[in-house]
Amino acid sequence: MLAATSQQPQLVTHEIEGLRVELPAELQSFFFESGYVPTTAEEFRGNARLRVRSVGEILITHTPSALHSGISHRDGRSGKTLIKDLSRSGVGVLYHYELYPEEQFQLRFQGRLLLVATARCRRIANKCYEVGGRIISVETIESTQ
Amino acid sequence: MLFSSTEGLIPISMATLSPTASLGVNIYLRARSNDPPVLYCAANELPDYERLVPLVGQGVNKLFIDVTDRARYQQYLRDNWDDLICDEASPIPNRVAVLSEVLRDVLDTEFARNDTESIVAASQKLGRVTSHLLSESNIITQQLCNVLHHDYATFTHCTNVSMYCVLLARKLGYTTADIEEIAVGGLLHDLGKLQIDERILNKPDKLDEFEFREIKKHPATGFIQLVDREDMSFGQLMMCYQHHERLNGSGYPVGCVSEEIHPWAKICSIVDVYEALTSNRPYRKPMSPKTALAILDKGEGTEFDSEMLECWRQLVNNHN
Repeated sequence: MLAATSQQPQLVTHEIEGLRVELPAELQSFFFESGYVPTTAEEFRGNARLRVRSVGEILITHTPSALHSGISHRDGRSGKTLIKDLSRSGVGVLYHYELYPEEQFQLRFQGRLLLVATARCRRIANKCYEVGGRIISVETIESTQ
Repeated sequence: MLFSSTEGLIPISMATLSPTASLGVNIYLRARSNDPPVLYCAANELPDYERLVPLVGQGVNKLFIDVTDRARYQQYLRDNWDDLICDEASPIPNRVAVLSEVLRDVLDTEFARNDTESIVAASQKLGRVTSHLLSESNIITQQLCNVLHHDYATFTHCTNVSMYCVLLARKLGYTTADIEEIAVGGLLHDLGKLQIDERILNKPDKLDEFEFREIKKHPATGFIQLVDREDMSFGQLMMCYQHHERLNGSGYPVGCVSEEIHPWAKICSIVDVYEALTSNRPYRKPMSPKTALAILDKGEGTEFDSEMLECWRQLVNNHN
């Protein structure tokens, strides 16, 4: 279980095999944060978001065809990602490259397999993009870790 | 009605009048902007060009029709635009003026229907015409500006941005095929704005945090509307998705930096800002080209691509 609490030591991201996300200085406390993410009335969020700080496995399952001519084909590309927060309908992750709206990916972490459609992406730093996704489906899986 | 004056009249370009076809509506004339409108041509008459020539010499290029006749004028444009634009005997600025009217009219109609399929189909067709007319002609930017409308309607903005994109792409040496795609991308770059409440788009005061957040959704909204289409290229999608990105990462929706921004989106970002600054807005009057360029200059190399901005500067300063 990698979800952090204030008692746990900070995870050094470059020591996680396969993880290419580079956390910038302002996110160095990433694994020390917990609890619900504050929100504002203007955001119109349907569900509360809980900080879930964990490493997950990501598999890109669908990139819209119109994007294929501009970016290298990445359906089937897999790797590691940092899970940031989770709600009943959405998930936030940090990834090392940009994902476009409507790209879909599978996310495996903490005994769950989520199918997610990218809703938004924001560049935090080089090799660090915050991706917000809409959860399409959730399955429970047996942990192999 | 957006363009209605206090007398209930809307401006039309003189260039859209055909010497052989009656408009079918009363046409009014104003020699000076403060003059009262006078009947120039009755609905059943052909335009008398001899009366117009002296006015053109004085820089008047707009006539007026009653706002209630707009649908009829739009039908006239649709029936005659092919002949008017392709009339090689007609000066290029006149033909571009007709094209501008047609683009605005078609986009206005299609945007109001808010059907992506027909918006894209119309844009593909008109983008080709725009690209052909502007890239084959020697029209200079100032001439183009003079025949364009400069109101704050989204369809007018998209029309102007598309034409400016073509001029800049031509100056940058893009191929004819690329310029054609860029013209279409320019027409569609603000597609996502159609989903924003008009009260926000037309608000005369400063936007609050919620309203600004809504505005900032439009690149992604438009992108999502277009991304599953087979007839859209990557560059066109990026014109829609990245035209508010800035080289230093200060833009939106992603905050991409220089090399991550598609060149066509960089073109679009420059002319998009220029067009917005030089047009009427609910909250301010249009800026002069010089002032608009000075504002763009502040972002040279940090927000806007230096080479592209230099080319645009040359175009605006009439150095084709």
